[in-house]
Amino acid sequence: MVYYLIFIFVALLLMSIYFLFKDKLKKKINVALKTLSIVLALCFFIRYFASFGSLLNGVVGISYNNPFSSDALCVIVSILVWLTIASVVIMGMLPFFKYDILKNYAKTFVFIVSILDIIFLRQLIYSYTGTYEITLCGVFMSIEVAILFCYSLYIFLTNHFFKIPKKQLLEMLIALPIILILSIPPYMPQVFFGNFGSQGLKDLSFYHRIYIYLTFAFLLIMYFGLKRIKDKEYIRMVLLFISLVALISYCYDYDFQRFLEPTRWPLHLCNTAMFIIPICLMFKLDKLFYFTLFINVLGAFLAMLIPNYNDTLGFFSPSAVRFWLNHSLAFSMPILIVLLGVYQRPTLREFKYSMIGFLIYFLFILFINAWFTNYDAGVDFFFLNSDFIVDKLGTWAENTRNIVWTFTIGGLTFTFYPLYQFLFFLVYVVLGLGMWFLYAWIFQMQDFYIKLAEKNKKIKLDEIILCQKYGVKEIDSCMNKDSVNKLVVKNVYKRYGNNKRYSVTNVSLEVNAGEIFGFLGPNGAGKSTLIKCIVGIQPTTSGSIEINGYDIEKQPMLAKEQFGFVPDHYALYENLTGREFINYIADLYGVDQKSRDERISKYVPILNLVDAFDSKINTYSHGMKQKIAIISALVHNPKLWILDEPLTGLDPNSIYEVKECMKEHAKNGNIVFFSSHIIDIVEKLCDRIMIIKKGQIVESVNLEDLKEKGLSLEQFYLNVISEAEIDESKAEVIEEKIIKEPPASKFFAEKTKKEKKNKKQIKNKEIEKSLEEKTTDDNVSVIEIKTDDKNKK
Amino acid sequence: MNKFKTLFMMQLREKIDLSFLKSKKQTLFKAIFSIVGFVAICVISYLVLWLCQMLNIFSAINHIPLSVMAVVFFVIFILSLCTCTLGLSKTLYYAKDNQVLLTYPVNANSLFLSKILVYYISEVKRNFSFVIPIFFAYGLLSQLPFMYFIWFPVMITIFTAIPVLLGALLSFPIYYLLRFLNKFSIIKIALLIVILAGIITGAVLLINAIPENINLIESWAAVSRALRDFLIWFADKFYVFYALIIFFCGKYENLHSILFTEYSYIVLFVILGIIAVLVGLNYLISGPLYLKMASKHFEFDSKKSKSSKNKAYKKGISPYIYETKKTLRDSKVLVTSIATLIIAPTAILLLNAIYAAINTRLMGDYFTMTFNMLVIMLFVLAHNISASYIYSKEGESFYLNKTKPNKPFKLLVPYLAYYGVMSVLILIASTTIFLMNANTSAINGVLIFFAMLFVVLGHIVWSAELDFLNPKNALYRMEGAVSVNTNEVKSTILAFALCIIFFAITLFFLIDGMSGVFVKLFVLSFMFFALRIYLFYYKTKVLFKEI
Repeated sequence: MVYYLIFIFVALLLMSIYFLFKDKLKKKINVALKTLSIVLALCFFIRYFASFGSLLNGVVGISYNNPFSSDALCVIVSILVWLTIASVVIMGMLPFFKYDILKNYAKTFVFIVSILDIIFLRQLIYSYTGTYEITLCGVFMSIEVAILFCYSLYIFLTNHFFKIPKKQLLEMLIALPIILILSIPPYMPQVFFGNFGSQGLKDLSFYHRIYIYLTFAFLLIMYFGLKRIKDKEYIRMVLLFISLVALISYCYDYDFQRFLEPTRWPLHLCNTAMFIIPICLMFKLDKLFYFTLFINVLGAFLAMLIPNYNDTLGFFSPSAVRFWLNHSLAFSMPILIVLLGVYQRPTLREFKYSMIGFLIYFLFILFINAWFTNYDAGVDFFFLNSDFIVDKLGTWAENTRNIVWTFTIGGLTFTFYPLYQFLFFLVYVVLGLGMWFLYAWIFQMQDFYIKLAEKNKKIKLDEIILCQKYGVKEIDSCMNKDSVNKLVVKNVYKRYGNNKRYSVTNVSLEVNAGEIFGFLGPNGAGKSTLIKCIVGIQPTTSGSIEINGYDIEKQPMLAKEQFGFVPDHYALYENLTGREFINYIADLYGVDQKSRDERISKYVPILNLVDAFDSKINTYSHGMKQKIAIISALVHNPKLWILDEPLTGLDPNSIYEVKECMKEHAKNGNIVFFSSHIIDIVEKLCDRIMIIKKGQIVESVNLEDLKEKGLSLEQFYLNVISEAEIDESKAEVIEEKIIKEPPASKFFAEKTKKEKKNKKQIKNKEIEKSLEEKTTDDNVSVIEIKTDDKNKK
Repeated sequence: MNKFKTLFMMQLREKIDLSFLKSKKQTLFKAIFSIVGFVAICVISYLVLWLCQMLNIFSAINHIPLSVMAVVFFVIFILSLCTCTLGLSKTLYYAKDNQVLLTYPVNANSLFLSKILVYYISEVKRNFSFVIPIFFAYGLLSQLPFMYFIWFPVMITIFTAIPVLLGALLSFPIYYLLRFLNKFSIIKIALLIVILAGIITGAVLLINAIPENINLIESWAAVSRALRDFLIWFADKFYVFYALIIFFCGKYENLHSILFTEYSYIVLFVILGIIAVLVGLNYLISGPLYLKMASKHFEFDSKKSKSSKNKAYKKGISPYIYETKKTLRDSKVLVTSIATLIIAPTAILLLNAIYAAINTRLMGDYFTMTFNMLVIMLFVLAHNISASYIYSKEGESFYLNKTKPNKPFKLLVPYLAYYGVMSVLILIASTTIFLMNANTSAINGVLIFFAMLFVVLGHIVWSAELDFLNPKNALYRMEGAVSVNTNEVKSTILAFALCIIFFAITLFFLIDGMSGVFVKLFVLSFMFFALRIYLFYYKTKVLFKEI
């Protein structure tokens, strides 16, 4: 009855304060809520440590050791004990994070739990104190329930009651299992499921392995669950919640008495992690955090492999659950914190600090062990005092403890094992170094896969955009009707890797069916680079290339079917014969038997390859290989024939035949696009030419026009090359240029913001928007370059 | 001399990748990895030697006799001589950079010796990674004087010149022998058959020589005596190596090793003399012969070949047919495959004959079973390491794939078909022999086979992925082969790691005694394979256009 009176008093007090100072509080509501949260946390702290552990600790399978009158009551109280912990942490964090999810939980979950707490207040207090008499724990628990109720009621009333948007409801439902599982007190599984699996929790037995798997499963679930969230503060909130409930669970059998006995302090390495992690997340103490990252993770992992608990424990016994909760969290939380970007990845400097921190911790523990042993012989923090570790390693390791230093100061005996303890430290530092490398590798992998996923997203998005653009359903069927029978190169930029200069700068060209197009330029001008971009060997940095209406980057398969390519290096599959090679290429292009027979029997004699056609290519001369490359490019009668310096190494007869083939191919309504240094041939063969210098187009001319003006191509070329002024600044990479930023990433950024709206509508709108942006991007890059020109002038 | 220096430096830069020096972080990583590797080999060697010492295997008193190290050194020397001979044959006569180097205005001797010097440097580097840690472990165990740890590296650096120079000398007859065999393929095939028959006969003889009942504990005294007799015989018959070890490690007097004696100076003088003679011989022979031999490789036979017909295959099947044809025509790959196909089952047969003679308990049965699987896996995975340069070895022509109208995955997987098929054949042959001797059901046998197959296929795909992500096409175009291919090294490490993990998991499951051991193993292996194939598909899909 007294507890209810306390509850009513506190509740009325809080309500009175609220109604009396309503206006003032409204102005400083956040401060008020923070104060309330801190008071709630303090009440919880006092009542939690004022009890000597819960009576539920001894309950096995509900019935055994049941302190209540019925099993049903035991179940209800157990669940309430569990949910109250989660509720207190939620309300404690509420004013410190501005996320709706906390408010939603407060006005639903916590509100309901607090009402149930009121109903079962006496039983709840009894479960902790074992008496219905007035105790400190009971008083503070009454205050705690009153605060919980008033606080959640306030949130309920000021936040649209039970109304929750669908998306937030979904978010809550997804998070609920995590909240429930992680806030479970260590004795609760035993209460509900009894005890089994005793004598099987060590030596990698089945039950031992289950715990190890669960640890890794937790790590993976949390990582993949949270990695999509870009807001680091949100992630910090989730991780802080987990670390706080874990800390509460960890302390389930702690009381104030324990804190007064230094020999029972939680100074073991992994125990310290339970305190360090929430502190680091709460107060953003990065240096302390890196200590736990390098040292605790390793310690926890080793402890999981060789646990030091009694091997008669059952799978659900509170000690075992607490051990695993402790070590799983000490192992996975620091990794999650870094992988999810709450703290920066460590550098060598942080590693150094963490090692200094470890040295200080190590020396402190050495001293504490030696000192406290005078009061309790069993003191063995971090296993520096006992033979627990060496016992597992064998006699040779045990021998390291034979060197002992003992001295007495003021009646206190201090004992050290210098060799063992030094080796212990050294091994840990080396393992820490190993962890550094392991982390470096993990981070590298993480970066790689994130980049890969982003690229994959971009590919998919490009496909969607293209389909939208041409109003078709599948990428395979869409085609730009304006570019049919043409090669269209639009604003192409190309740079290799992180090179600061573009090898090809803003190149645009259009070649029509029936044309033979010559591409001229000095060595290193960018001819081969552009050709490699056209045929798909190199991706462009920006711009687009369409072959017979198909985009080479977005529809590579279809675009590649449109052309045949003769490279400049005549690198072929040397272990195949000429015939096998041509047939292989014909197979890849799906050329039927009749057509390939016709074409092979046409080109092989023309190029004088009859005798060698069935010999292996590695026995061919350079010229012969070039001829094979030419036949392979024509075997599927491509719409576009691209040749990169095709006449190098050919004999005069073959040059003549190749020229005839080019003329014939163009005459049949196809495009011939080739680069060459032999100007005479280009002059006689081409309809149009383009001259490139330092990656920029300097001249494009119709050869008929030249003839009319009475200029030879050679003279024209030499004049153009010597007189053309290249604006070098155009080729320099300006980081701000939108060229670097693919439109896809913008699209996704926008998409995330507006996900609340109707999916279908927004998708169409955003694609349209992205398309517009893409067009604008191209323009912007050109405009920027033009501005540069103006500035220069 | 200047020309020689330029030539040497040019090739050295190409062979040894020093790009990590540009970044402090990478330098630190490299240094730490090298030290860790060195220490790891040292520790493993120490443990092995320590175990031998504890069990008094080689000596009744608690130490490792010098003759043991003489045997170790002899094996290392023979291996080194073989690799040097084969490696130098390639580098000297078949390297693609010869096309350029031969045109430089340098004489044959300069070119020849510069190539040998570059090879010598890479050999010294290799010795620092493997030989020195083994001998350091011996030095630590035998408590050799501190000077040994300086003396041995210096001396081994000098001594390395001998296998390299000998290899260079031997490469001349080897070259002519290979050309002769290539010219007369019937002799080549006959020789191969003789070698294979020899291996099989040797294996059969060995199996027959295995006693019906081996009891190591009972016969330990006899075995130990035989081992010691062998060591004495070796020290007597191969005194040169025993003398070298005394020179390297010092002479034992009153259980203490004395490094520097008059004897040491004599041996050092002899070593230097041998090196001088070998250099002289190489110089004399290379002058008239080298240029001719190195350029022979670029000459073409203009034989008229037999005409065949065009044949159309389906787009999906064609790459498998032609890629397999290409691989089958690579004599190196083919010989390795045939050798593995014969040696692996033979080794398993031999191993099981020994096991059959040993009276084992349940735990022993588990060990024999897992050890069989480990050996099979080692053979097959080692065979597939060459998948780690499957794309690179095509040089520039690999990039032609990017112009083909086919999905990257469909273009790249056919390259691996050959390795997949060969792995299946080797596994069938080896596993059948293993299962015939194992006490397990047919279903378990099938599960074991597929479990191993999935790991093997996963390794092939992983190795190919390494090559795809970090291509070495330019190097292969220049050299025809790369002496230290990081992808190959990684693939080798992966092969070993996978074998060990597979071994450990199988043994663990068996000892754990839970039901469905092989089903679990099968599921795990399948998951591994599925993951690797998915990652390969995903990476090729996204990154193909960028490589």
